[in-house]
Amino acid sequence: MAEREITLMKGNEAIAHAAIRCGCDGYFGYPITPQSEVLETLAEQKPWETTGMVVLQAESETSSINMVYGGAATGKKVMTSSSSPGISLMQEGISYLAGAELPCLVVNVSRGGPGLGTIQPSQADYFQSCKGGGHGDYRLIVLAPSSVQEMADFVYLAFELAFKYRNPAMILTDGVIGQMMEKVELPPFKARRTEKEIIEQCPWAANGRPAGRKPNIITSLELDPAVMEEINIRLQKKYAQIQENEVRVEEFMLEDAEYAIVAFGSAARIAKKAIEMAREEGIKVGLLRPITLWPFPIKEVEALSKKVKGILSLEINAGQMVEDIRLAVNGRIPVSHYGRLGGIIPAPDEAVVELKKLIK
Amino acid sequence: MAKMRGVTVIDTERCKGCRLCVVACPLNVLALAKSVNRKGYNYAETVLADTCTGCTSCAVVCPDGCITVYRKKEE
Amino acid sequence: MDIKEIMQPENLVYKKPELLNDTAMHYCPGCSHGVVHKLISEVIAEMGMENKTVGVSPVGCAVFAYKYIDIDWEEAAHGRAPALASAVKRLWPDRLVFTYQGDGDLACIGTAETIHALNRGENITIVFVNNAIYGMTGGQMAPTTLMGMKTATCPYGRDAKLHGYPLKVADIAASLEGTCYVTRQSVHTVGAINKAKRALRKAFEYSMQGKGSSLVEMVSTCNSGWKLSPEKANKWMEENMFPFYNLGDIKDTGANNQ
Repeated sequence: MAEREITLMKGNEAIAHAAIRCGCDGYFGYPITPQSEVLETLAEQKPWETTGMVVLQAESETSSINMVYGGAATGKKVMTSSSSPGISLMQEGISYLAGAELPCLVVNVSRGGPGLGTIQPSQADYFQSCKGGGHGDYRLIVLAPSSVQEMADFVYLAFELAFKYRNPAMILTDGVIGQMMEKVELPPFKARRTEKEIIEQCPWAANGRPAGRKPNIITSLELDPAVMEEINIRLQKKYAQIQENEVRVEEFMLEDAEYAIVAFGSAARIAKKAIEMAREEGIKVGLLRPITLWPFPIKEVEALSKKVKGILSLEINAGQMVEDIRLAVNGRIPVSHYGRLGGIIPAPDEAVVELKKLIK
Repeated sequence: MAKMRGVTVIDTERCKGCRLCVVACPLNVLALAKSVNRKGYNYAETVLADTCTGCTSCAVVCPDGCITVYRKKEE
Repeated sequence: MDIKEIMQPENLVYKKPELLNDTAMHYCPGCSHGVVHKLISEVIAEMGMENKTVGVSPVGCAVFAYKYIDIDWEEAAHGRAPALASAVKRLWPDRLVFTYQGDGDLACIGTAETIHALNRGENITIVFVNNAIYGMTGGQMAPTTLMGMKTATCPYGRDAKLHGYPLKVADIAASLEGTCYVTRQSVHTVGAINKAKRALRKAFEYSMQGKGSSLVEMVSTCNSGWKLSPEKANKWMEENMFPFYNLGDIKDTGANNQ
């Protein structure tokens, strides 16, 4: 049996190592705190000498995401990473990627906003990620890791889903997971696809038209509104299929729970500690952790609302995911929100206090 | 001296009547027609067929690639 | 001699390039874009690169370039074509990769992408159609609009106090270490078209030889935007554009840089 490779590293470093190991063809990025270690680690690892992966520091996030568009349009496995203000700059490109149905990975190691905000962690980009930060009716597949291990694993998962549905995927994490060091078992190496494999697997891609094939044109433009509506309907069908098939959640101590916390990413880690403290005081509470923020676990939250007496949405923002929870709960039980803003991380005991308010 | 004889074949439906070929022809072989094509353009047509030497100037400057040119040396 | 006798395949001396398909182009009558499309089609075919070329089309009049030339295309967001092309070329080094951009796309909203792609020495060619006006949106002022020139957004003429000065992109490009070939051409006469074609061929060859970035500026007309007939637009270009945008090679280090 092959020896397991367990390493201690930062979440951002795990993203970089996983990218190299998963057969990623190209990374295009721009420095911004708190995600710069992704590009730094890649530069240090020099994957262009080993796997042949291209790593390029662009002149801006705008350019990074358009390099991703350029590469993805040829069928290659390409990605970028940034943090909130940079992701805002990328929204134009993300909308184009969704419109042209291009698979790619965008990692957001988010920080507190709005504006230049702070470099401290935040989950205030939930709306931007899940509700369409750019223009038009589109969706991103959004994965929220809550450990360094998941940072690595979700690079694989994000690419798998992106190519399965020809849709951009996002890893929405934050400065906590990005900067935190934890042990991680890096997933096994996957070779980059050969050009022949890419051409076979991505017959839609624009990488040079062989004799006999019609030109492949990658665009999101269609001036005929009737055709544009058809394209939109097709996109919506695809999104419905993703909603149906790809929801992922983690359940924690929900078996006997009378109350539930719903939290994602780093907030879910805080929630687990809060649950432990609350249970010591005799409060039967568990956690539902959405792993896919979009597709949101609508059915799972609905089912939860038929089981528990109240839900606390613990987020590191002013209350964003709580809106989706309330839609799924549909007034059946009380839903409250607790969050800290501007880069402050809520403490587990604060969450317990909020939980007690909900129980009253 | 052998004389070059040319023939220009104009795709009159593709032609937009911009007149650049008429201007480019050194021998005034081409002119815009009085009648129009289906798009309503006065298309280019050959008016001095015997004069054409097949120099291709008209075809080279045509932005829409409407003109095909043949050339043969007169024996 | 009978016409039929002349019209034999062996006597064919000019026809529309094969890569340029039969779709009617949306360009206005007499527009320079059509000629530039023909030249690109001819050069790709002459280099035997039909199956290994990826073009990147812009936002602007040439947004639909992909409908006319039968190669693989990517349609970029406004100004971003050089970023797309940079990635395509790095990921597929044996492909011929070029962008096709107008003055608004390249010299205004896409200035950063253009300068940095050229400065990185990406092995791509940027084909830059400069007609000193925004054509697609209806004739507004462009970064390359000449002083005093009237457009929809400078109806009294471009005034330096209000609008600043026209940008000489090719001169900026020539000053960058990453470029191997920067040239300014035109496509208004047979002679100019032949020169422009040779320039395009050189640029594409340098791209394939990995010599760095090339910029081929095509000083062009926009007769609709300029409100002139195609013929008068050519004359106006000669009298007004060429004195400011001088034609010819500005930089060519490709030949001695192996």
